[in-house]
Amino acid sequence: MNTNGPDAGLRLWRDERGRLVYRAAPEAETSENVRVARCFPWTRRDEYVSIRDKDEKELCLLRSLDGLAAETRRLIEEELNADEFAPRITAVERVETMFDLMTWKVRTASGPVELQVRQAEDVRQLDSGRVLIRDHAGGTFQIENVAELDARSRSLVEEHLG
Amino acid sequence: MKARQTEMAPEPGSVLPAEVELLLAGHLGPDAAPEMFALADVHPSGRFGQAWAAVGGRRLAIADFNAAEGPRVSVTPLDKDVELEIVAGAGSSRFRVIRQGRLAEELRFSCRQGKRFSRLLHSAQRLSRGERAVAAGEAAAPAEEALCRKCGRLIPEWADTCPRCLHRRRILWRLMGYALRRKRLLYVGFGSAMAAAALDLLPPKLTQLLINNVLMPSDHRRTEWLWPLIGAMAAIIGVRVCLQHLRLNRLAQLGEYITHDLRTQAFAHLQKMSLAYFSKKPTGHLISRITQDTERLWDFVAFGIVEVVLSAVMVVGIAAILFAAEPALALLTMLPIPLSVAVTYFHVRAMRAMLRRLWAKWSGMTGVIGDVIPGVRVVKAFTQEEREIARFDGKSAAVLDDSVRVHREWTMYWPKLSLLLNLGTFAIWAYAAPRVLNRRFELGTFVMFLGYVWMFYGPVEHLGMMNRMFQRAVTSAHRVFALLDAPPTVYTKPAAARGRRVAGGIRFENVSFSYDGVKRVLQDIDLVVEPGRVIGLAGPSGGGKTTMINLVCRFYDPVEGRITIDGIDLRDWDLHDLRSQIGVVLQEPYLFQGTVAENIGYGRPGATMDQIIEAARAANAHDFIVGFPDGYDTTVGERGQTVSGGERQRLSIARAVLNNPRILILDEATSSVDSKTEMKIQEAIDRLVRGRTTIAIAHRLSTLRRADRLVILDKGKLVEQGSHDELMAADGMYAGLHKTQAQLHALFAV
Repeated sequence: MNTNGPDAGLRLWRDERGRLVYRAAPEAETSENVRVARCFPWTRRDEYVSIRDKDEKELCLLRSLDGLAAETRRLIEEELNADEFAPRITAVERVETMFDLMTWKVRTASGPVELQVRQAEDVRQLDSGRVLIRDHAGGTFQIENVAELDARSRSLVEEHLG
Repeated sequence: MKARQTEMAPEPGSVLPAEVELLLAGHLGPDAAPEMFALADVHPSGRFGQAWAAVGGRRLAIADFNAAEGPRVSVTPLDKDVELEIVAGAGSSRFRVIRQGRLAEELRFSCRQGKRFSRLLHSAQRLSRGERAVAAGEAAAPAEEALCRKCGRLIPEWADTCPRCLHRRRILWRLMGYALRRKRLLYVGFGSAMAAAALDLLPPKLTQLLINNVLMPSDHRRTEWLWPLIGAMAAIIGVRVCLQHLRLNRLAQLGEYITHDLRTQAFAHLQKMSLAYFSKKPTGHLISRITQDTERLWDFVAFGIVEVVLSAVMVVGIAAILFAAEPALALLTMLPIPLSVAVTYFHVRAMRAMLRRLWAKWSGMTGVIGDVIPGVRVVKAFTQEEREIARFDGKSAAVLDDSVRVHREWTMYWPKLSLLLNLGTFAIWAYAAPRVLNRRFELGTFVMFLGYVWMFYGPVEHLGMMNRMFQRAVTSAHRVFALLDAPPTVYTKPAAARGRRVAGGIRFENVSFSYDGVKRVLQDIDLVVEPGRVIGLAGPSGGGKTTMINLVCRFYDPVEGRITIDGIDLRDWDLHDLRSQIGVVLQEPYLFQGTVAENIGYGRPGATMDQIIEAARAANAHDFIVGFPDGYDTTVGERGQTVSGGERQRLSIARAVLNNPRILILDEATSSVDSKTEMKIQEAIDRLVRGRTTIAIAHRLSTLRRADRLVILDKGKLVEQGSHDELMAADGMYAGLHKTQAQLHALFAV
């Protein structure tokens, strides 16, 4: 394992099955079916990306994506984005509480959606101010900055934040 | 009470739209309907999208609606050239179809669709092996567990039917049904409440009579009414006191009877529920349902309903009297009432939201204390006191802010309410006083109006809170009824034969199991255990060992395949017959509050003391029990004598011995005890195992060596089986595990 800075020799590519293949340096051995993961998905999104083999052993920890070969960097970003789905909420239309359950009708950057939230604790605010809402199926929806929402949405969110 | 029933579309992905079904059906082949389907709800770009995948007739069809130019359909025959995989990500996963080593399709889906895709994958794999899409014994669509079929909404964890689709009025009626079981209490309580309310209405009226007809000089003055009126007042006061007592006492009793009925029914019903039910519902929730929710219903039945009914009666009664006396002034006086009710309603609502928020801030603050005090050594060691002080200051300031807001709200409400009601008083003064002066209005009526206007305070408050009170009661009632209505998931078939003896042959036939419907913790397990044999289960943790014994006890039913005992499917056994002949010695045996003797005899209530002592001897427990100052009468359990881990195990062995089971389930403790105790336990186990079919989760090398056969589980699959020597010779996973363990042993033996 190496914790590297810029490393132009490192390469990732896709094989015909669509799986990622990793090679640390031009002469090194290749590892198949690897995956990439963010270490700080909420606080330092574009730093500290871990490349892991299929048994979840770390092959390499990238402190930053800068300095990688353009194609490899594009592929890593594509993979990271494909694994993530936490739509940004742009407006809250209605929050209905009934029988301990909340139904949030929201608009997100990905489209309008209705969330069913089990517990008050599933709506939480990180220290950075970002609000995360977890729905019953385990999906995460986020509000990057509550202050940027319209007044009505803001008051609805604040009422349920705690 | 409002019954808002927002119409909602079904949860996306739970229903295959007709047009998609049509589009796919043609591609699955002649007369092959989609047997399993899933919705890929994420567009490759990260927006919500729509692509459907379905299997049927040994084919996989995908209809992709994400492209702008219209739907695209692709078909993949499910043969050996196809590989399917799910790449699980954080929030979004991918379903890949690889054909002849090349990526053919990739669909993105969110967490919501995870279960459906997992089922689709399993179905496709079954079809490609030439089996049926849906395994025998597997329901076609159990994955929709948490969603109401009618409205598509999530059903809360505590409910088994959708609460929104049940009429609230029906719940209240059902609750009233319990009240009707005690008719006397109900009628006496309610009757005296109504009578007391009617009496309440009289005093101002009497005052009017007294002033107008007795005190004021006029032509038809009736001074002889003076003492009868005073007497009537005294009688009213006296009778009211009695009625008040009757009302409170009878209704409080009624409430207690209702909660007692509900509590005992709920507890009795809980005993019938399967283990799966308990693992889904946290113990705390169940306890609160049996205690708190029923308590809340007591409050509602004993006081809530009556207050609301009385309030309405009072308002109507007063209005009737006032209108009969002076319609114009009555209208003026009543004007602020609806407004006051509305103000109260909104106040209650605002307070509820604010208090909830305050409560959350409060728990954030206490959280800091709870965090820092146990961790105080760390704080001091890293000299972070200042930081913790600042953290606490911040949280406390947040509590302060919200508390101030709460105080602002209620301190505004009370003056507002009194202002509104005083407006009534003011109206009476402004309207009536000048007229009294001109003799166009009677003084007595003026005083009567003033007397009534203050009686609005209480009813207004109750009517304003009514909505909230009903809502709480309905929720509690529903929670209790939901528990009472939950059908046991594992139950005895009505046709099952009773009183069958177990011989002890166990067979797993192609058994798969999953707790959550996504991850398979056991996969295609085939295993035959002959009667009287000892099977050792071993393998890395998370391999599925505990799940296997859970299935043998029929705490759960397999998702696929079947388990038989003596050739009969477990589901066809009488549950009581089955469990009474399976003995279980668990890793951390549970001792109930009670004496040692009671704990040993738990599974066999009629056991004699001789039998209990014999069982204790067989478990090598007799000597240490007699060593306790109170012997067999020693109290153990939560508040009793502390019993060491080794002693606990032997008590639990004694419990199993006494039951004389045909099949024994043994989950060896991992924690180490001293070697002498270890030997005693081993001896006891040896005695217990003799002549019984035993399935043991073994950690000790000695047990492993003694087993007739070892079964090694890894990631839900049966990877090796054979005797100790055979497996050592094969040099596989078991040999590896054994070596590590032996090394550890050697290390500690030094």
